[in-house]
Amino acid sequence: MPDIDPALQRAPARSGVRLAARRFARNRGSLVALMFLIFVHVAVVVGPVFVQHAPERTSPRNALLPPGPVHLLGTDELGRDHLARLLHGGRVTLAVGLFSMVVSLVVGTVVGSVAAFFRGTLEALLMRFTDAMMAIPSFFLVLVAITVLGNSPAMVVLVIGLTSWMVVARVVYAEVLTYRTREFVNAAEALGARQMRLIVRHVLPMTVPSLIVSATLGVAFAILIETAISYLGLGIQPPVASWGNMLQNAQQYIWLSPMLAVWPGVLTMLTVLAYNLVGDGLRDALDPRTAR
Amino acid sequence: MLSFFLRRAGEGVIVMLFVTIITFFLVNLAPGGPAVMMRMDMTAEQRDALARRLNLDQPVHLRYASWFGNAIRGDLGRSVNDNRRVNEIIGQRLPVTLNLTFWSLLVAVAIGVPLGVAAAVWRNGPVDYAASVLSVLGLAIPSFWFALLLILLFSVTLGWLPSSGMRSVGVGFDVVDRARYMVLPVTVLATSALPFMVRYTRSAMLSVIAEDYVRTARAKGVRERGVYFVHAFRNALIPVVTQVGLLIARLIGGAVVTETIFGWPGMGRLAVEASNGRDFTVIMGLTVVIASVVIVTNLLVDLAYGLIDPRVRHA
Amino acid sequence: MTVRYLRRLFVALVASLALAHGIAQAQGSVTIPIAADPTMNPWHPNAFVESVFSNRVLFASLTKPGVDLQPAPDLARSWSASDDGLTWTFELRDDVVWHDGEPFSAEDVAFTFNEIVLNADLGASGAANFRNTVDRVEVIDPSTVAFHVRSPFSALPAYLAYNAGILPKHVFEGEDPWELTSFNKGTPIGTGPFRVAEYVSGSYLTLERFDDYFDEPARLDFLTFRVLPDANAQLAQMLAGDLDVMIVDNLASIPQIDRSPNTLTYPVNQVNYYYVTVNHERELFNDINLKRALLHAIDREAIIESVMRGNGSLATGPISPALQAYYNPNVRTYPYDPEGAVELLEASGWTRGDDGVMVKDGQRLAFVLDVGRNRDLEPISALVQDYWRDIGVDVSLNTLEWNAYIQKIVVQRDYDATINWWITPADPDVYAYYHSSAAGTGFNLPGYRDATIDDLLERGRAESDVDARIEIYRQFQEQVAEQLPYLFLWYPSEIQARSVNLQGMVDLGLRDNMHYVNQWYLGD
Repeated sequence: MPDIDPALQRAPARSGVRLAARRFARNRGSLVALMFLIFVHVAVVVGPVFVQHAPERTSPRNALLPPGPVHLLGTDELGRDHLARLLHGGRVTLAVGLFSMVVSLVVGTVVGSVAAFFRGTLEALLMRFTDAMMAIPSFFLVLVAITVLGNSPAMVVLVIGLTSWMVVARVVYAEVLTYRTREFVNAAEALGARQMRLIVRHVLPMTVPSLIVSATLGVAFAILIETAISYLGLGIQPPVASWGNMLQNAQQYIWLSPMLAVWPGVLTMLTVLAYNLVGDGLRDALDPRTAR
Repeated sequence: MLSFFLRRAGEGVIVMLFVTIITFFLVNLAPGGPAVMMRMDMTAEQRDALARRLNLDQPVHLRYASWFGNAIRGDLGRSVNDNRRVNEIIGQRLPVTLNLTFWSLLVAVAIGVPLGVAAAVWRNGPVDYAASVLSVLGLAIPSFWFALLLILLFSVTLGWLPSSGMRSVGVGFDVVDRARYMVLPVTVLATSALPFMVRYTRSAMLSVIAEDYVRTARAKGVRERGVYFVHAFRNALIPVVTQVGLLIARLIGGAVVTETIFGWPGMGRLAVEASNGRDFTVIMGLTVVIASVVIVTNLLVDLAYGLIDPRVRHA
Repeated sequence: MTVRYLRRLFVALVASLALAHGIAQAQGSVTIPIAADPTMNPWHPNAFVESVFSNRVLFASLTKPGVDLQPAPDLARSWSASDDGLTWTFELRDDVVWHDGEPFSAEDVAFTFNEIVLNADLGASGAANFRNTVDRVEVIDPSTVAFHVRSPFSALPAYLAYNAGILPKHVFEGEDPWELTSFNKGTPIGTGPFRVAEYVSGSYLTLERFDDYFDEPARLDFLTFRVLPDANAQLAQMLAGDLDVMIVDNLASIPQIDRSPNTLTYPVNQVNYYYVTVNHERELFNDINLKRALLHAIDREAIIESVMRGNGSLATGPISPALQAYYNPNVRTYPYDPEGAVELLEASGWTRGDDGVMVKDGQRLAFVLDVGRNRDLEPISALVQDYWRDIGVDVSLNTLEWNAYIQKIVVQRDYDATINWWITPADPDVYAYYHSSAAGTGFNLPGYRDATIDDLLERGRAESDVDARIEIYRQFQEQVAEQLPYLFLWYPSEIQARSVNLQGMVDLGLRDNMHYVNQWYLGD
């Protein structure tokens, strides 16, 4: 889903949505990636309707079946339909990735830009808070927060989002700090532009390229964090499927049923890859400064 | 510059205070106690005896106060579970993680920055595509999965490299031996950092290349290569330096999975062990040490802004 | 200062080189994986399952499990109970020395028990059984000790064979045993066939042969325990030939291990059973029909055949078939029978509601199955949940991190139902897990209280005649199978992966095999 942040939508309005779309379409890789992402998202949302099996339905006598007419991709170690789990797991994983990214992007942009623009006490306060959050190793936060608050999918999203916004905040802060000292901002300030308006209209758009990079990396990062914390047993808890916990679980069966590990692994990789390619395409298409 | 440095150092101390308070209370809020008391084969009577020995019957704020009192004197206490001194445990584990992180960062920077610059300079050329494929693959592959594949290929199938540990048992210091054990973990950890270096370098270079002053420089007749490397690279360094700073925290985080898979006894694995075992004192010790590393790095990054980009003045 | 430091560094360097040299020459060196750092003190609360391996090598105990699982001589040559059953006398070997050369005597045994195990303030691991039964240990002469018990305790020799290593009085006297880190996490002194050569926290523990070992000296020169938390890393190292023997937790890897030319798998019986415990403090679970229906509903054979790949057998009660004559297979059994299960529920007044869930008096038959994140409890719980749903029980899973799980289930007893396992000493005396006095605070997790069961357990504990004990415990198993204080699932086999040239192991679980490590050798 390319709708990364409302802030990003404004950029093409200036250079022209159609122009940006045309530029985006010229990038073959990004286009294919976008189509793949659309396909994956539609598949995980609509796909389960066409699969007869419930993703959590076990059947030990049908464990580790190879692909066949009944179970198109075979079954896992408890006899659960692998296709059904992949689709439901995809829902969970993609939702975790997207929503975590949104949380971290919103919090990070607000903190970073406000801090950079309103120098002084507010800046010190916000950036020290960012430092404090960064200084607590995020795996501690993830671990402790999840053990205290539980590990429902919503909580995993919040925890990942609220422990990864600092990166965005610092990048935005650094960028805004640079642009803030530019002549045109000084000029606008001199003309009496209101500060909020100044940030939104003049400064934030300049950070868009960085934000796009951050956002695409953010989704990828969130999906990968989910797999990493799943490896440590802290991610989405079975029997609810996620690509992370399916991958973690499949490690044990790599000798017997390597496909159990291949599917969630490949889907995770391709999805993360596609987000990055789409991000690249968007960056090139949206960035007014790279327009020639 | 000095007053700026002192002010930031003072802020660092306050950050540290916040960090320790947040962590201490969060850890103590978590259900379940230290592993020593949380055993299936333990009766209520045994559990109470241990709770008394560990002062867990005291209120949380008093325990924090006594922990803080010792910590300020440099004594991080003793492990709740195995009673070793936390300073000693971390002293053993920190070099392992720093070693792993240092080499991974070095590999990531040494490959990533030149690759990112090259990708920007020859934008949309074969180098750019190769760099983006490489970085995108590096980003996309879940690290524990990548580690497992490497182990399967290089250790189990080919038998070229050891699958875990830091050195052969009973062998003294031997560079070749250490290097062999280091290849796979450093590859995995560097792979997780490399894409960030490539992409931020490329992205920063492209932004700067498009800037007016580069155009101006070009118009003034500075030769193409000179434009890129003198003007563009210098300005592109800001986001790149930011990244190196951020990457250190991220690499220490990534070390958790890498160290666990490859059996390296570092801080990351210690964090997993301490969290699973609810070893309050070790978790606090880890928090203090890692937070210090990150705070100092951030401080250096802020200072580096001023040195690299003269437009940013420290008030 | 600096000079002294440098000298120390130099000495350490030379020592490590010498050690490296020694190990390089060693022909007989065996490596075993452990999941975490060991604590080298069998009574330390931090001595978890990973510590058991090395502690059984380092510390001899009065008795050890025999190949038939009956208690066999170790530090004690022989033992006998007084006629009233209140005093057990152990004749000790007089040729035993500690790893530091000090002689071992009855004083060490008395010290270990009186000052550490029976000391209520220490909360020693595994001490509960002794604290409930043993009053004090008396030194009769340097090679004789007497255990004074509060009431007859015929299982004492078997319990002394289970993680009850003897600690050296001359090291621990006047010390806080849990804070003696130089011992517990450094260089422990035991009486076993190997002593510590080098310990690198987080990496490995290397033991070297102790030449003054009181029994037949070890045939191996070195024994190394490698700390490998990741199960896949363990497997990879096993297949790569870096490990010699390990317990295979991931049963799906068995074919791969057998296919490798250098490794083989062996199934071994063990004293271990999996169970569902339901909380009898909750009114709902005091209905025997419900408990029987829940057990009938689970297709345990299907789980054993598929998920466990045949490595286990149906459990009928808490006494494992590994205990041979004590095991009673002729009890009420609960074969897979979902229809029968529904009939049992209907007999208790439950009827199917509109959503397929059983209802009685407007109440749905719904409860939570708490799942601890450990070993294979998650997948088993998912399977059980589905089987119970099939008979109209609305079960939801609540997965908890292990410490939080213990807190909820064991400390607070705040649960409906959960699945777990017990590993017990190799004796039919399971008093601590079933007697009503252990409900609420002890190991009686289900909180089940039954006068008949209490009576049988008390008689079994007091009876010293083997045939009479067998009869009592056979009755106990019948009673337990009727009343189902726990819902018994299965007895899992332990699967060992061994390097093909590792010889001399006995036919016991790997942990029990550590008592026989002096017989291991490498050969073809």
